[in-house]
Amino acid sequence: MADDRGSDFYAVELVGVSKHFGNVVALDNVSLQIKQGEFYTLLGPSGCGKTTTLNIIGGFIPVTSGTVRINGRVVQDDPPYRRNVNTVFQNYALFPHMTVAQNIGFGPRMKKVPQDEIERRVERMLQLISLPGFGDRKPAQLSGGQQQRVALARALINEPDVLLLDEPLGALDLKIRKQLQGELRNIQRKVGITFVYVTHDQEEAMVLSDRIAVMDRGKVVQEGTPTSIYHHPANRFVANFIGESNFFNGKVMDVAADEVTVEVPGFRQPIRVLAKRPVTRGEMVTVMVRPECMVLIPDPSTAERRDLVNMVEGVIAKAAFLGMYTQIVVELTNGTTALIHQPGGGELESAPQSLLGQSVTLGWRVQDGRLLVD
Amino acid sequence: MNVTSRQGRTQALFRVYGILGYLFLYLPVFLLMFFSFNKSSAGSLPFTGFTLKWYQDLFADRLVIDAFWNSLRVAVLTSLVSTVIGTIAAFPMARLSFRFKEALRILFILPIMVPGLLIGISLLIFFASWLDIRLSLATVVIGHVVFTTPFVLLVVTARLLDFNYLLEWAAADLGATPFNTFRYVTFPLISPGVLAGALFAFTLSLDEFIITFFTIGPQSTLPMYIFSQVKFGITPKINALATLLFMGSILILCTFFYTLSRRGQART
Repeated sequence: MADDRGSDFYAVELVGVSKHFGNVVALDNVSLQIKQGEFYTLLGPSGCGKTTTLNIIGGFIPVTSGTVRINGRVVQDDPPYRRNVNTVFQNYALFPHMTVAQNIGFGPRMKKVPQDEIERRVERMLQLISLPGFGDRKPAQLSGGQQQRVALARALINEPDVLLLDEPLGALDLKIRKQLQGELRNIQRKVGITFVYVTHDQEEAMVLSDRIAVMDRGKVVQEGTPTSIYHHPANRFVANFIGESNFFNGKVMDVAADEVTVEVPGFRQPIRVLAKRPVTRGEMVTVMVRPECMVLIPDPSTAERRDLVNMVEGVIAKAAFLGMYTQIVVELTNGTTALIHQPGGGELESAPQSLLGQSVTLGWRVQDGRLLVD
Repeated sequence: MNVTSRQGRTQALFRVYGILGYLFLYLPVFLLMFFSFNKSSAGSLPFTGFTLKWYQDLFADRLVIDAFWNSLRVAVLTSLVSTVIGTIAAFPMARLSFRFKEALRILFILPIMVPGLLIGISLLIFFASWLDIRLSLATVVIGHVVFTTPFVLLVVTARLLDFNYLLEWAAADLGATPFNTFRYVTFPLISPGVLAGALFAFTLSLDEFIITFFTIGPQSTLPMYIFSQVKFGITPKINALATLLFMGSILILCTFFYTLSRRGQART
């Protein structure tokens, strides 16, 4: 049935959607295109507008301007009960006076599905969420993780075109969270329904999503796959929000065909970086380098051989062995600090504490730097 | 040692204080109940023997039976009307923000503070001089609704402020129309508050005297009857009537708390 509606349409499409609460602009001209069957995540800090976006797709709050389409149909004036969209709410919003089975069966009951058919479907959902035999319990008798799964079943039983999830794992502790992340992904693959997922947890977004929209102050700042966003952040906000980053501010000295040279005050030599976006000489720019791309160079004379053309000097201020890698903070000659992740023992034979106070040279390749303009 | 004995003394003192408090509240009631079984018609000591005569007298008295049914009819109607009005009014008070909301809220609740005498007289003038309608049990119901509705409003508003609005979003999300959302989700969850409000209104109406006195026609209610009898001295028949009323109120209260606690258990 889902196929009849045609995949020529986006599952969800927002065109120029804005939302004002009084004088506060919660969403500012947001446009999104979410494909059929996609696991799509709205990621951002609290107050960025991600939950507002979700509530607009669900129909709980009206738009101030713009168009919302679900499967090609314009829906922004439809109430929630006329949209084939279901939601897993933050803190689940299970009906406390109903049993688990009544909660899950609520959607079909509202659509006047015969009672025996409802019972069959509820049973099937209880299997899907691995809670068979829990039908007669009240929500308060379940753990947080179990409640979360019931909320998921209550939404999925209606076979919606799109499932909206508002920080569904936010209230759970880390271990259950990780386990449910896997389950969510499996269930999504099994049912093939488009998921729109809201979270402020960048790691969760990376693990689950096909595509991510990073939001900040009511705008979508960047949209893309987890890898493209991580490796090519659109601006400093994205680079900071997703993963850890080092930033070097400087002035463009030279623009070649594929390479830009940036002079950073306080550094002995300029930084070379690939020219992925147009810049002009004299422009102020930021170069971003991920901590795992930077390496400690014990002997600078070998650096050239390893393409580590960018080199900065500094003194080790902090070092901590974290198992997979050693995290080192280096105070640089320009007064800023750099964070580096050195895999395993790597170049370091000695214990982290003995590194403190050592003068070191850090290096990275031309292709490891990212040029940010903002 | 010293400390514990002093603690013990303080505790004993508080216990005596508590017992005295309860005695103050309930001793007159229990005495009244006690004398309703006394053979002597004086309504005071000595206790001359156990009898149910006064209860028999009571049930044989047409005036009492009429007054009882009138009171019950007024209380049931009052409780129904004020519960509906109070519950409906509670929604905007709990959920919307609009101009003069605080002022409106205070105006709505004010009848609790306004002396019954004032409400009674003003209603009498309103009914008799302005509307020119005949005083009856209906006018009594209207008068009672004026001062019982605020109680319903207060109780239901408190319940609604506790209500997680996401539950209504969830119902709408699952395809429930606004009516079905109210029927299957909102009302079941606020019903203990609504029930409490209805009981409040019922009991307040049942023993209301002053407003009734001003707004009633030729009929009588239980409080009116008792008042008229007391003029000729307290007879044990009144004691018997009061005892039954007291037992009735206790029964209603116990049923209410029992159903409430059962619901509570089912929820946890």
